[in-house]
Amino acid sequence: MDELLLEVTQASFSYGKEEPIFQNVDLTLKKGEILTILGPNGAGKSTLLSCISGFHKVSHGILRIGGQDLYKTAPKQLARQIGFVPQNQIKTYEFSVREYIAMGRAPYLRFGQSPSKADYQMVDEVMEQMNLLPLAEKSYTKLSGGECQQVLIARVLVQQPQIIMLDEPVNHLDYGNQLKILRLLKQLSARSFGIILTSHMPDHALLLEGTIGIMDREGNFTLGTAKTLLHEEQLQTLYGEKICRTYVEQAKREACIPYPL
Amino acid sequence: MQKKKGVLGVLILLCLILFCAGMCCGRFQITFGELAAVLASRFIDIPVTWSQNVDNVVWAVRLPRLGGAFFVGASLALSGTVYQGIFQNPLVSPDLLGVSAGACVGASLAILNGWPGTVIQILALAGGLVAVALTNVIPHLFRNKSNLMLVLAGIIVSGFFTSAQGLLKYLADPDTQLALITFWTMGSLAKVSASDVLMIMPGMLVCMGILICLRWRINLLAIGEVEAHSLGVNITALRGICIVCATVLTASSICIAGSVGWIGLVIPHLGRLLVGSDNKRLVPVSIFLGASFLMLIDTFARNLSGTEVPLSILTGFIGAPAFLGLLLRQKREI
Amino acid sequence: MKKKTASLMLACVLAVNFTALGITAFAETTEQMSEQTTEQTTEQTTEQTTEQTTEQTTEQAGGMNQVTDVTGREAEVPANAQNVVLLPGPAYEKAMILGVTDRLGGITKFCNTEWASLIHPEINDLVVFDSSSTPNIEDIMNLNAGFVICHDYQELDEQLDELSIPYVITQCSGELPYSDLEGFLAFQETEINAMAEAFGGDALDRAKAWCDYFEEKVAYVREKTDSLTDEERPRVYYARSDEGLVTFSKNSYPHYLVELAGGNYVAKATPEEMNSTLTIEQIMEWDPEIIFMGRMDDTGIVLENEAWSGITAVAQKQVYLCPSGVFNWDYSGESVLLMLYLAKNIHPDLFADLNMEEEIKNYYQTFYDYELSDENVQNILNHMGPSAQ
Repeated sequence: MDELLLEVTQASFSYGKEEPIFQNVDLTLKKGEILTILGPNGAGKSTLLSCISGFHKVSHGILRIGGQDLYKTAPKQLARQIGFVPQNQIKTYEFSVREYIAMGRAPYLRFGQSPSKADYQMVDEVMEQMNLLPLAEKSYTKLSGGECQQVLIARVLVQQPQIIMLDEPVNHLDYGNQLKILRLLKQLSARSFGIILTSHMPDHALLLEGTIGIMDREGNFTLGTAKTLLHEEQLQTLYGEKICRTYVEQAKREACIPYPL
Repeated sequence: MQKKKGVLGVLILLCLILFCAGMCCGRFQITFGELAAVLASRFIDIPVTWSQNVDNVVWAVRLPRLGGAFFVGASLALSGTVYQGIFQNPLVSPDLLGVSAGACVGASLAILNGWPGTVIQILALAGGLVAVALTNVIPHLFRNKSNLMLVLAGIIVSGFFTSAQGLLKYLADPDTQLALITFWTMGSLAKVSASDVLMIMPGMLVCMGILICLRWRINLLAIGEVEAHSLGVNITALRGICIVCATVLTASSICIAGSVGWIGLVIPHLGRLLVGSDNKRLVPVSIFLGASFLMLIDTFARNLSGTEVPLSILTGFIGAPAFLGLLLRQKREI
Repeated sequence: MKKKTASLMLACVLAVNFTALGITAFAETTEQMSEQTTEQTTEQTTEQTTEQTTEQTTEQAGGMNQVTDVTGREAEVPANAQNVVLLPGPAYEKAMILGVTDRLGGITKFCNTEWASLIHPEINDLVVFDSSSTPNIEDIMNLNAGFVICHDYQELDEQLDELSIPYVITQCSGELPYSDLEGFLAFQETEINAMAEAFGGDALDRAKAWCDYFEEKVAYVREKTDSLTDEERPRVYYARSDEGLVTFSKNSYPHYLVELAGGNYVAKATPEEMNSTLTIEQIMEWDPEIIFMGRMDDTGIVLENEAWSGITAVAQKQVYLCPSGVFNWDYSGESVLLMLYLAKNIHPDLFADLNMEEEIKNYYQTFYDYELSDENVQNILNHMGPSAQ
């Protein structure tokens, strides 16, 4: 279970000669590990994910995926290892959910090829596992936020990657759906997917019980655990508010709770 | 979204019916029996009981014209579908991206200099590519890739090329070149000959073939760059191939029929209404829908009176209200 | 916000399409343009103006000429006017007939043909207007034009009225003032007479001479063709331009000229007047026995096109180019020569005594005071310029 999937060493990124968006990022991701990246808006969390997905290229540093230089990996090969759910979807056309999920098979198809029967079979299996079959023919532009996030994850699953990256997957979701998605991610980690996600809620990091990365306003990155990172002082500098981490007897877990307003 | 099965089959049948109807209708009267006999005479030995004119109407006038209508309609609808997909924008079409105007300018330039047919085609293609490249660059200048920006860019580029077209018209010889250039801007299949159709067919078929093969991949571009990239798509290559193929189709159409408006915008929407947005189904449906539409329109253009009615007038009268109707019916947020 | 964007975008879509349509439609309706570029230098304009203003003011004292133009409108123009501007295409050749080319200041670019500038090289010194309907009005003012010869374009005429520039209408842009043969014949004389009245003096006598000649030639042709039965009148198609599909339709010059010459003009059945773009099937349906090719210099356009091959005229090689002189024969004073040419080709036996070469030479000598060489005549007959191009 501790096979190394991703290794980022001393990575930094800047647009041209501007101030770096983030710098000196060191992180690793193993099979079945969940890495939750916390940080204020505009800290550079999304840019980091974008660099790991290969869409942007870091200005300095080395990214290795399965031991190979990430930027020298062919795009298709990379897509078979990392699945990415960006924050905003472009929903111009009314693709059906089934068609949309089938797009995840793209890295396995030759240039002029369309998905085969076997590909659609895999799509149907994944939909069945996730109880999405009733939505199969619905237009993905008409899905609710929670359904949409599930469909996106389903698309990533048929992509059969080892790493799943999600940029703020529970943003804009109602509370119940937030927990539903987090539970799904937890289940996926149990199936040995390596998962990286960004979030605004330190409590989500505690719920997911994984590694925690913090990116501050200056773009500095610190990797650690709940114990080493999520203490009051750190949370104060991160969010500018008084927040405590405490054990809640009734829920039988640690939680991050803000002080009274 | 309900999927209707068999739509493609119905459309192919419709195409055939319209083709036969088009072969029968015209200012020159031929009976159905004569038509059948003339067509059959090329394959089996039957005594010739008809005049040379009847033979010519069938083989040298109507067949090339309907063939031209088929390919031009199919090409314009297909390129419209492809542009709408790769630009993630249901409001673009060869006209709106400036491709038509650019290709017209290229073609007019060649006509004005008295250059031969192949050069007209090459310049039409070059003009179209320059226009689509410019339209594509303008949103980058503003770092704004919204639908509105692309449409505005198209307005700017086609406005410029329309003026260039006006200038060329102004310089043209009134009795030989002007009519030719006017025809170019309004669209007509009146002068299509078999050799014209044969000249553009190889390029069109190759591009159609490529786009048909890539039709599912166009879906990937339609969901946005970031996602397409995360799915291992070589965006630059895929988009480049699609733009070149769609532009070749548009430019080739313009070479034989001038610029026929509205088909590239309306047909893809109509197609989506029939089979949904999946380009895997939409692309073949658009091809046959576009072909049927133009064969129908051209049959009207030939028959309404003894004089030719420019195609763009008819496509505009039918296309514009139809587009409004489709938008209302879809009630989509643009 | 979204609604706003949507409606804005719809407006944009419409704007683009309507502009495109508008522009093409506009270009369609504006009269045709020739390849010639404007050779118009301001230098020249001012030079002429200063030279002739003094002259004109003294002459204007000489009185006014009363003119009834082709629309029946009464106009008053200064006698002995200078710097006259000719805006219609078929006007310079009439100025040549009337012997008033030295009193012109400007012409439209259509007037300046190779033959015109061979006979009157000074045509190249005139101010050139790009358009008959929308000339640069300030250039007309600069010229201090004695009067303007123009079409009945309403906006232009209103503009001239406002600026108190006298004008005489000799051409109709919209509805034609005649709809039968007699009307057409009368119009030919009305047109040149209106111009002659405006210029006054010798021009009146020269117009009279031309009208006499015109009547004589018409009578000569009618004498031979009037008695022809319908069966004896072959079906004639006049291909104007553009691969032979554009024709002069009903009430055009070729319509009446062909009928005078003893032919049956097939395109008189068209709904529009003047120009029409036809479908090839329509021409096949008419199945003409003789085809004349107007403003084209190659019979191959029709003879070598497979679609035309079953048409009687093409199968029997009855396809003729039309000559072209100082102005197009199918739309000018020289159309009287076209009538003779058509007659000679439609009924060669009836007009065996007609010598086209002699007629052309005679016409140019009588009305243009110019002696054509034999080579000149051949070039005119073959739709070529003086340099055989």
